[in-house]
Amino acid sequence: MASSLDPATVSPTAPPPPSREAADRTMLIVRLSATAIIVAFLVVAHLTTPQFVTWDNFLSILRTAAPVGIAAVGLAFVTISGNYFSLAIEQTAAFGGVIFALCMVDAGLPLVVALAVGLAAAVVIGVLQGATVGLGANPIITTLGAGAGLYGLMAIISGSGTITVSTSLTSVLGGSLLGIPRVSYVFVAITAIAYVVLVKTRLGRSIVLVGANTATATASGIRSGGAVTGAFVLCSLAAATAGIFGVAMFGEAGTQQMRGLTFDVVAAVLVSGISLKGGDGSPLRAAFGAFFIALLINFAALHGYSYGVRLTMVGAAIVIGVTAHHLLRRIQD
Amino acid sequence: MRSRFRGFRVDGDLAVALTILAVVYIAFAVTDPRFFGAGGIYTVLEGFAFVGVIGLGVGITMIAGEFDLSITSVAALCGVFAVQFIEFGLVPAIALAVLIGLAFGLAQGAFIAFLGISSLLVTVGTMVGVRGLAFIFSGERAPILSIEDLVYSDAIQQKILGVFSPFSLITIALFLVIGLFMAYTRWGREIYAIGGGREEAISAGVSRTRPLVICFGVSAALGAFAGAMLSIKSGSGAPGAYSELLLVGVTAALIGGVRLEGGRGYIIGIAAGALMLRLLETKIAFAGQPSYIATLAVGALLLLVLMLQVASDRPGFRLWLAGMVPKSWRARSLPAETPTE
Repeated sequence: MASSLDPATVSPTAPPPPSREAADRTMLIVRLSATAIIVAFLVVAHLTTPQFVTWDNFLSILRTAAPVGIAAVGLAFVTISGNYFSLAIEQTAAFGGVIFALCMVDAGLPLVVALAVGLAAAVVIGVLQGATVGLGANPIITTLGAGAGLYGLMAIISGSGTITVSTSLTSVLGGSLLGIPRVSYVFVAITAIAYVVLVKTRLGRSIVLVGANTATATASGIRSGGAVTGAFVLCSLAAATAGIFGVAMFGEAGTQQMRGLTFDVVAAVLVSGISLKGGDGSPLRAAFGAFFIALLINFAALHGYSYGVRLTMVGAAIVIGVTAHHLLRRIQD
Repeated sequence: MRSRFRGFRVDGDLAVALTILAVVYIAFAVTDPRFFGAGGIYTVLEGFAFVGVIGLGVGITMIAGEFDLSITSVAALCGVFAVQFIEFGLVPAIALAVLIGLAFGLAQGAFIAFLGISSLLVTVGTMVGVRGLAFIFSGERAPILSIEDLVYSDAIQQKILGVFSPFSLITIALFLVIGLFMAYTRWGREIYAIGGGREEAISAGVSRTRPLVICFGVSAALGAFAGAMLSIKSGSGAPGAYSELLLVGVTAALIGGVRLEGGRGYIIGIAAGALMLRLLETKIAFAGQPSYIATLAVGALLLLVLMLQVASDRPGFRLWLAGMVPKSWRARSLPAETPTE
């Protein structure tokens, strides 16, 4: 009964919920320690890497953080709704990118229409996954299957080749404004929108309540399936946005283009301290998590570390982050 | 969905899985005679070997109510090791790779059990980290077997009795041993108990740590075995490969009737699920379709099985299904509608 795979399970022997003050104190500890880790990392990086604190490198970190961050902000809704994470992030991103590129190149549609079609495809993907999970299916397995399905569909649609998008069409999205990549503005804007959606809208509040306690939320008249579907739609929309900007930045789209994005995005959310039990967390944290992962990737790149070292660092960050948050919550209880 | 039949307990999910397997095989064999020939059966069994081993590893952790996302990364890492160790000989190279996988899995299981932390969260981290280690230990490029060592590659896929190979025979033996272990030993039953009702099982005296350490150890060892065999068979280690096996492994276990909530599932069901998947993938390959069609088919099948499991857990669907059953069966099948938990 107390299966760790079932996000909605509340163990019958679970201790009573801690008091408000204790919870606040723990959250303060979590925030302070997270800040301390980032500051310590920055200091170490600055001391060991001369070119770390430079304007060019800052721009490079921003550029790395943006796609990861945009997708992570979306994934935060799934995590907050109590459904852990999605394993279909990179496929959704690539799918959005492929649809966008096909609309622009093959159909010759204007940029705005191509964007809309790409995002509409993401909504469909999100609704299908969200409805499945909302009915009670396991989110990890659902997204694993959905990722494979999307990959296959994408390969059929695009003829499993690469679609080249002419740079003049995409310079609007891929370029810079005031010396800062446009995608970074989009990242900030999406984070702000996500925060407002979570805190101020009915959907956002429903996602938090369903994540905190599905049974109570249902009893209070919230459709838990609807909230979960909404969370997955937001997640897919964000992932597809990241994918479309990826197309704009690289000038091409393909099934494998976003390879590895899922790792970075899941890592961003898992190290950010958003409660994996659901019902607690904010898109801002996911954005900070993405920034931290981008710092790690940038640090590895500056030191000329190989892809393997980079992956191992991200994996270690996940394990350490997850363990630290788990232990902190246990101490609090 | 259980009924007693001459003293044997027949599980509904398992019976359905085995029936579908038989129907699928006959349907494929009738439409394509290659499935009846020794060559076709050999092809299916070669695929069954690695899908089955991964499905077995994932399935055991699912029976324990846990999940091991890291199994395919362990396969990549230990595949690299097996190719690098080949100078010690074929069997020592595979044994060393499996031992490394086992040691990692035992440590991972102990970590999860002692901290009481979600295995999903730990193994998503090790899935990424161990993949990184596979790239580090291979120096970012695939280690290859030398020309004279390719005899080992031939050795593990040579035909035995026309349809088997050492790889598929060892896989069948693994299914037998692990099936007997899970069904008839105390430690095996503990894995079911802790997956079915963790706190109840612990109150009843089941160890909290041992079942988890065993199932994660077995899972990683099986991943290592699959990786070692596949790498030697193909003649090169592949640090970036095998991640797609997680999908087929999970699908095989779910088709075989393993339940994600834990505590339920039969090892023979996993074997049936793996065979069914390989029949499907072989059919797609025989039809000359590209591999992404197979990926699409397996993904769709996984979602379908998942929806069926979710639906069958809903009382309304069960009653509807019971209404579909002929009256003469109903007397036997209806008592099973009482909750089993």
